[in-house]
Amino acid sequence: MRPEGLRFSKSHEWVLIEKDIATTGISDFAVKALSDLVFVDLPAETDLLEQGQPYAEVESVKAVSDIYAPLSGEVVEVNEEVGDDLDKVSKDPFGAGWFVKFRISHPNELESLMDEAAYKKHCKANG
Amino acid sequence: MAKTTPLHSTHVSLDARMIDFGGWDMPIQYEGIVSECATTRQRVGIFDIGHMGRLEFSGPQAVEALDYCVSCNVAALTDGRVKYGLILTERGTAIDDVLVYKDIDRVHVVVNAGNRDVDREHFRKIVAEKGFDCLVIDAACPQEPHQGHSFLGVPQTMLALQGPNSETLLQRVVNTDTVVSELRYYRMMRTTILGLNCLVSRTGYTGEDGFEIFFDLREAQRMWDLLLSQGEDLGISPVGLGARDTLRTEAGMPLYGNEIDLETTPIEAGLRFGVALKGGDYIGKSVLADQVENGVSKKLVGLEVDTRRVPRQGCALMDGETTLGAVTSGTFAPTLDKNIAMGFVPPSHAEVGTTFEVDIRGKRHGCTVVPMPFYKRSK
Repeated sequence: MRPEGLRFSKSHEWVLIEKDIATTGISDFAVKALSDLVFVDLPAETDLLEQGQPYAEVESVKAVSDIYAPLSGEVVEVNEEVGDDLDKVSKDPFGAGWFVKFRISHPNELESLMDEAAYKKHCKANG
Repeated sequence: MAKTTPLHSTHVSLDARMIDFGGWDMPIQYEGIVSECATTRQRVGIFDIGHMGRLEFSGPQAVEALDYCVSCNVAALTDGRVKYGLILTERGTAIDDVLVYKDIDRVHVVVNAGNRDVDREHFRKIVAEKGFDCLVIDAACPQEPHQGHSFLGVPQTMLALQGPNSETLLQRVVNTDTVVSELRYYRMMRTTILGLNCLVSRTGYTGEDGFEIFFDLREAQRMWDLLLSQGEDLGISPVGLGARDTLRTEAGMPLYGNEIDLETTPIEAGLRFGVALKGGDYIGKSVLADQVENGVSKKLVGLEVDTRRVPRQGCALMDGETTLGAVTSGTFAPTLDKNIAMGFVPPSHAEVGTTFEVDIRGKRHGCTVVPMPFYKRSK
């Protein structure tokens, strides 16, 4: 599942906006690059995210990677299920594998994110 | 410019992810580390280990010379035996760890990729200084002037088969006079595959049954293709350095640069089995004898952690505000479905069951000393 209207950061996080709530996770490109995911350490509700700053970490067998906030805001919901079932992230990164939902605090930051077409180009350049 | 093995283009065409390892451009993974670990533990994996160094001591004093250069008792080895040992400094610290193969007319030494040149030059220096009547031949090096005197007479490369189906696969490809099941663990033999002279040992770096095969490097592609095609129904697939590192960590095996280095002795690293205190003298021996007698200031231990975050190399081990030491290797262990690590602590904290903390990227988690190896195959 790959919903319409996704926006992407250069560091391969995606975000989907519904009113003032953003859902975020990591892209299929990131899943492939990280490979062999074993654990995702997520923030708690009410934690504050700051655009471009790490808010979660993904452990794979060989390395740990920071996951960056695509936008600033306050966490309102955490997908506890992905912590125990990394397959959700690997198999459905844009759906069941979402990480957190947060209330956007600086809507103008959205301008710095890429649309699907621009992100595709970005991945190609980094692939 | 990174060095490459004869199978480099094969790895690239298999779409392997490549990394620099000790100056070599090597495959870290093909399908993925988890599936490659499972292949090795349950079926059979094929590993390109052409980056590893192979040196030969040849000549009347080959055994004496090597015996003086490594910590194991080379003089006591009967023909066909393989033994783990270390090359040491005068301080007893490790220049490298090696496998020594006692052949009928020479001794082979397999050394780490990153230490090939250092080891060769160290050996040659000692041989020259002590006046041993023997050659140290770099059997893996195409530029070696004495290659004609090596076992194969031509530069060689190395492949490993690791996993429970290794024996069945190897039996299919060796000449009909060879009975692979008769080759015991840590033994070597000469045989032929594809009509090519080979040296085969029942050794490996995964904690699994398996073999390492030395042969003419120009035939690497033909050997690789043969083993893959003959092993297809046995579930063979290529395994990269990522899984190799995880497999050896599960098996509690040290990696040079992680568990052992120029600041660490084999006694500290729990490698007493690679140290002979009887037998002849060798460089560093007196320091090791003293440590065995009087104890060490740090000890390598196995650790399990109370978190699903993975302790990695360099993570500090803490008791309150006291730094005990650091993690040397840490990984998620797919075979065991948990996180494991090795690290150095003072002897006061090295007993199995001792608890302290590990600092993983600024956050503390509890950890417990556990016995090693973490994984032991059922025989």
